[in-house]
Amino acid sequence: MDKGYKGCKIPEELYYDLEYHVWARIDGSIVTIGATDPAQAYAGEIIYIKIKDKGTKIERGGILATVESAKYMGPMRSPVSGTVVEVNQEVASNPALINQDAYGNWVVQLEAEKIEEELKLLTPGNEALEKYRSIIDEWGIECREE
Amino acid sequence: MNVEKNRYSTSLDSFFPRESIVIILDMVDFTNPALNLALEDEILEFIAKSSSPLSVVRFWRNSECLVAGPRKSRYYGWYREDMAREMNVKIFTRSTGGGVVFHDLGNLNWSFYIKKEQKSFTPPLEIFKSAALMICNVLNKKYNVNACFAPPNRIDVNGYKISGMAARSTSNAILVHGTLLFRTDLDKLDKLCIPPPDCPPVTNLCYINSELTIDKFIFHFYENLKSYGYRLLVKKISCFT
Repeated sequence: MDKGYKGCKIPEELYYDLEYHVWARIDGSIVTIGATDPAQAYAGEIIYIKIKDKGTKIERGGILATVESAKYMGPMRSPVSGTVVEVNQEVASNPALINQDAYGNWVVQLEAEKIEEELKLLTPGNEALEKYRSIIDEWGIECREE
Repeated sequence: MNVEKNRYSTSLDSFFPRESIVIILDMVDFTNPALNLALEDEILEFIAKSSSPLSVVRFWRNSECLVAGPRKSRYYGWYREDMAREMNVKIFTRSTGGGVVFHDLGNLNWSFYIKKEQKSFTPPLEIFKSAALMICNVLNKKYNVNACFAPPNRIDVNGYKISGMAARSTSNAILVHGTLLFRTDLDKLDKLCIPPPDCPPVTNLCYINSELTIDKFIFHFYENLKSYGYRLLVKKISCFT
């Protein structure tokens, strides 16, 4: 069962970027990336997402996608450097899927370039929950009723 | 009172860093919607590329028109297309999110362009809250109108909406802008606009305090910033030469 706080899930098997609020699943050099549950709750219903095309090279901190929610358009940033090898077309055509299940609906997959180096900048799942507790309290959000 | 002043001062700091120069562009006589909307993106780009600590505030008005966000959503207000055709009101598109708003010369648009030093996640609600506080602070301090931030993106006075906000973030700059109803033709607004769900009725600031005018508000806005120690550069621009 996924661990969480105030209805926000923080699965242990993932890595988290607590600055950009994205999660990463590492599978060799392929990194699957999506928005975290607290980030989607904070953003509100996502009505549009424009995702970078396959083949786009992105540095850590670069823009993976532009997201519109609650009258705000802002960037979703990459937790690692690499090249986009896959885009989740279901999310591209129905971005509200991220609100329904932030971890089941990834946004892109990257072929990472320096994963060993950049993995050190990410927070493992077993440490992320503690850190997210204070972030969730600070943001004053609840992902879903517990 | 001091606690309130300190809280507001902290909120200002998160928006306009103390070391930055704040440029205030008074462009209320510049009322071409297409050019005004193009300027929003141009100034944001300028701020993003600027190497010096710089923030810009712009006040502007549009001649009668409707301004729409890039996408329609059930969460946003929209407009009555047949009525817009009948009344010959043109529709323009802006680059920030959200639905459709009515502009005329009784509505003051305000824009804050802010440089971001770090590529961190910017919580939208914080942006709207900080922007609203700056507007409310002037209205409440000088005109006692009881304006408050109504999440996620409105300013209300006594249960009436007086301002709606929208925002856009690029890799290192943020644009947040909003309307402010001073003396808008509310009959036209009602005929043309379909409000978003759960939106309270709108009103004009002149009905709440008859002394409030656009010129006075702009003057008090920069007087207020000055009182917090900011270095300001105020430019009145009526036309391009």
